[in-house]
Amino acid sequence: MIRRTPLAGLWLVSLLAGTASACGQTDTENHTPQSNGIIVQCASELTPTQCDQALARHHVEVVKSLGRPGLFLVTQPKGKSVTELVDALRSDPALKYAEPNRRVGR
Amino acid sequence: MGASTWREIGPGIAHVKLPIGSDVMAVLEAYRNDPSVDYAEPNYLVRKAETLPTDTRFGEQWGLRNTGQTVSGVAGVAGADIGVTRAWDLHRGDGSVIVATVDTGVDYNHPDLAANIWTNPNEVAGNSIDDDGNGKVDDVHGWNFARNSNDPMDDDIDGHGTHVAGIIGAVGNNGLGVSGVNWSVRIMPLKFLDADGYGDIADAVAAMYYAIDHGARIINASYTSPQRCILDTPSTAEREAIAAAGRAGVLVVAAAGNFRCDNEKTPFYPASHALNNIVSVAATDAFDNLASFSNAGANSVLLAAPGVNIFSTVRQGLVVNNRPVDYNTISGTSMATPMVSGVLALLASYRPGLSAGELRETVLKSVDAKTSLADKTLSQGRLNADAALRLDLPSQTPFQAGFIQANAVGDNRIDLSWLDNSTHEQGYHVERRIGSAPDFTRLDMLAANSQSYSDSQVQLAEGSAYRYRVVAYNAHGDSPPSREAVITIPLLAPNGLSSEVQYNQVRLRWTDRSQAEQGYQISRREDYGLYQVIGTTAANATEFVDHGVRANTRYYYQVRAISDVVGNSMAASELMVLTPGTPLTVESRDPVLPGQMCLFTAALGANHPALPPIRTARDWVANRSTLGRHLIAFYYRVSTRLLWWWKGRA
Repeated sequence: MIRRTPLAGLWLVSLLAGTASACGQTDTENHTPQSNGIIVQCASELTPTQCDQALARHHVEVVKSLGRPGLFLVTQPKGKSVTELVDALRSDPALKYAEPNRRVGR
Repeated sequence: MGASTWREIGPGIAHVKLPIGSDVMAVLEAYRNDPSVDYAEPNYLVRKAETLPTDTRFGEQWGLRNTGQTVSGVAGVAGADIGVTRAWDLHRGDGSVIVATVDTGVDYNHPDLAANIWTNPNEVAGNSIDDDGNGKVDDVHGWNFARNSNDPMDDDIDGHGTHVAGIIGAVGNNGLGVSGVNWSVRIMPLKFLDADGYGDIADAVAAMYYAIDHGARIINASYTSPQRCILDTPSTAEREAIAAAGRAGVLVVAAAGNFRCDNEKTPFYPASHALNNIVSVAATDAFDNLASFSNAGANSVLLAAPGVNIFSTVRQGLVVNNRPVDYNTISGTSMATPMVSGVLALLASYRPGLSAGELRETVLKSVDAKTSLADKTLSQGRLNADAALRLDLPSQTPFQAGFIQANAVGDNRIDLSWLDNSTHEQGYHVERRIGSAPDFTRLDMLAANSQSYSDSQVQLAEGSAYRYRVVAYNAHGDSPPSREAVITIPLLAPNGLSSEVQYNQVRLRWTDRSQAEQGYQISRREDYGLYQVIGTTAANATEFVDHGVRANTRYYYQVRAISDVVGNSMAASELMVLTPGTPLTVESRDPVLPGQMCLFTAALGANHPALPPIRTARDWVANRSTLGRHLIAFYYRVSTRLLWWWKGRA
């Protein structure tokens, strides 16, 4: 989320060329988020073992814990699209929510 | 004493002048010994108070003190700054407040930052033991979530995180480089963006929870989705992490975005989560105008702060224009955001008893109102550090509600929701204006902390606009009204769309259900085309004839009620029609043998049930190709001759 001064001229050109159309309008098309795994949160009443079992049902593996019990970044198994996996995880009552892990930037 | 009264400056208070050469102290003593004089004192000279640091490049920090100096070739307007030099007369930070920078990392060795970098008090450096049991070994100065390591050193190509950190708290008055908004503060480096400035939500969320768990009072979030002005889906994980921060008394200060978008139409996260521990920040330039690149949002972006050509620390040795630098100028709402984080931290250390909500509301109530920001931010103003430190929040009216929305439910109910941005309101007034009524009328009075209301005393009329706003109030008066939430009840769409199709025209008919339409609009498309308006009718019309059709063509029609005042209705269900081929004009070309007797008719009889399907095949299959037409013509010509020949034989 920065603007570099040395590139101000370039930025101005790109602004004139493209930004106006890009930002002045609302793109209502669905965009496929770039995904780097899936974020899942197990239901609060689940024990860690039950949470592990719930994730195992969907053949996902924990990449890392995200700082709260039952909140994980998990892998996307081969052969399943992000949408399919997220839909399956969301329909599992043992999981509070699931969403693609999207990219962000400065 | 020879003194003479120069002027009365209040009841019984005189400003006296002394003769030249008088001994002021002796005169004062004489006055003070006079029983008829309550008090006497010198008339001191005063000047505008201001504390200027010794940092050598402070003059380039126009956002902190704008004297109209030229920075990056731009000379701004004196006073278009956050007034922090006057705030420093009161307080300069005391190192008691932790601000987490969830960013590209921080150069914690930078000489202008090192003294203000947070150190984990429960971790022993370099012993390879997780002393505090938080699952992270030797997280002495934060954590690198991008690489899962204990080194949050900034490696960004622009030194973004270090720049942000310097704005919040580069060591002040150290005769070196720049000054942060806080001269003394604790910056917690939490790196989750990589060297190119990209990362993911999972790591941002983990970083926020780390900040919450390790005592941060403020999280600076100078990051957003890299998508431009699209209808983005908010991350539940991110929202829950920020909500958890709120419950822990932690504020999240978030950049509004750099794409010139209207965040009301295309929300930008995390700034656009409707949570009252988020402070979303737009950027201003040195003229107090909204920066040309800055996103805005009248309902959801709370305030603006300097964000153009901001001079601050960068990671040491960063190469800019082929030479290594330790400081650089960068623009963005990323830079405006730490200005606000810095002032919140300054205020938090100056008034340690303030809650997170009170800190936030104090900063919002103390902005400098700017007409250039009137429709761009909810507060309509630019950050003012001095005013924030001097504001006595309990003596103020409440700050206005944000994120107001209205939704029609059924035929006689509208549900409102809003974000309560005030900590000391006594309640809310709900106000409504229907249609062209000139003024709002008060509907109801709600308890403090209310954030929703159902208006069930309303009969929703087609084509009418219902406007709502809420006003927070307390003993000192009303807040400014919230922005307006508008529900316009759309026109009733026509239904029962039907057609009467000929090869050269289509007659459409529908049922007029609307009482408020100005007419009907008819649109048409072909198989792979887009809908185009082909005509309009007067009000109350129920049919339209399309003369512009071709034979043998499939068309799709839509009809909608239209109004310049309240907008158009939804379209009636799409209607598909297929125009027939041009009528057959097959005639015998033999003048001696006129007539169109047909072999099938002669053989089967005129009323045989097989004839209609044969005729259908003739008209809808054979007649649609050149070869078919030749075959039909051949058939008629030959069959007539054959019949005459057969008749002659018989």
